[in-house]
Amino acid sequence: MCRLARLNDSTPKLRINLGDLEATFTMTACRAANLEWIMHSRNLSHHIRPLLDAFLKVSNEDHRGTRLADENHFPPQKPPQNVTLELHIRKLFLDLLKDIPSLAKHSLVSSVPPTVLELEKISISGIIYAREKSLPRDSNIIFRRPGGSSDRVGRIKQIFQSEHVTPGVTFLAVTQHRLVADPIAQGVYRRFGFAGGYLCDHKEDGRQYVIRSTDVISHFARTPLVWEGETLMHALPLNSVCRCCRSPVW
Amino acid sequence: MTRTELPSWMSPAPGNWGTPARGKLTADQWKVIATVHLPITLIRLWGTKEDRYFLLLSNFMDLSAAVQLANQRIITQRHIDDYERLITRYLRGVKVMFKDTPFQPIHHVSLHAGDFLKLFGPTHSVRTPGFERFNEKLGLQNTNMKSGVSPCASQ
Repeated sequence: MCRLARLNDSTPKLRINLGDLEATFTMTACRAANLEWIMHSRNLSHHIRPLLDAFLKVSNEDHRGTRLADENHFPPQKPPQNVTLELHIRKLFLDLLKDIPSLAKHSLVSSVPPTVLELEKISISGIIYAREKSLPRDSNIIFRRPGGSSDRVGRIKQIFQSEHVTPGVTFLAVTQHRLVADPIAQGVYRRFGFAGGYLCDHKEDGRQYVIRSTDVISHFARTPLVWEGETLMHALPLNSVCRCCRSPVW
Repeated sequence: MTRTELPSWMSPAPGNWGTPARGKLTADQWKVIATVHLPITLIRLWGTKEDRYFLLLSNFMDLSAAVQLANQRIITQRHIDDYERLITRYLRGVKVMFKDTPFQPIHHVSLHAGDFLKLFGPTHSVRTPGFERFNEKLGLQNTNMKSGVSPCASQ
């Protein structure tokens, strides 16, 4: 509804040749869409930095809980860069390709080069996820390992694409927070199902995974808290897309 | 509350909510309080108790989960069934625990939300945050106490 309202607002402002509305509107929309990418291009962005800052400020302006930026499916970001994967990330990446052979373009998975295209952010189901280095708030995720059935809590360290896998598939290197094993402490939160969240160790447990973007379930709200003298972290899933099929209601 | 790290698409509730200085909260701020901040804090404080506090917590969590289900971007029959079960249980709990508090019209409306979900699907297609932005702008206009004659309204 609000998208349509925006459309109604912008339609009368269009300069139209009467009877040529569709073409004019399409052209204007395309120009507007291209403008954003052009503004963020490597050659131009440092020349128009003040304009870019003002544009981002307006886009992220919060009015009664709504932002213009939320209307954009693809977030503005720096151009992707070619980087070489660290050894252990590359090993995890290759393991994933071996587990899911349909992902790799070539049958010889080990020949996939370590150079990948690193992204700053990614949009999954209309929600922006970012690596920890770029935007820590958007890097907290609930995810599942490919083929796994249990929800895990982690943080995105790297987002990348490879030319040597099926086009359109994006991968995320994620570090995990271990769930607290104490059944009493964990049970206090888990008894309320998805609305209660998880109790995790405050620090990442060092285990890393490479997952596909489709393995990401949702963001979570991260709150450090002290439980019986121990510093822990509470993770509350913020899942507005696929809660029913994944989390039981108590 | 201030230590909670939320994704950029979600604004935290103001730290001084509930005080005269803050004044009224928006619907979105109430939603964040009810679905994020209060569950985290109340479960920590009351989750291990066994007296009336735990009943209050369970009752509140029914409401919190119902609100979350009603705001899903994808709605299935199971969502609607769960919502109706939780909101009914919440209202029954309110009736038992707050015997001297009469139900308000909003409580009645909440029982029909399941019907609207069945009829129209997810709420994001029918709710009106776009118009809320205009409401805020209109509310901020200085009308010099002459409602209906301000340039903003006449244009």
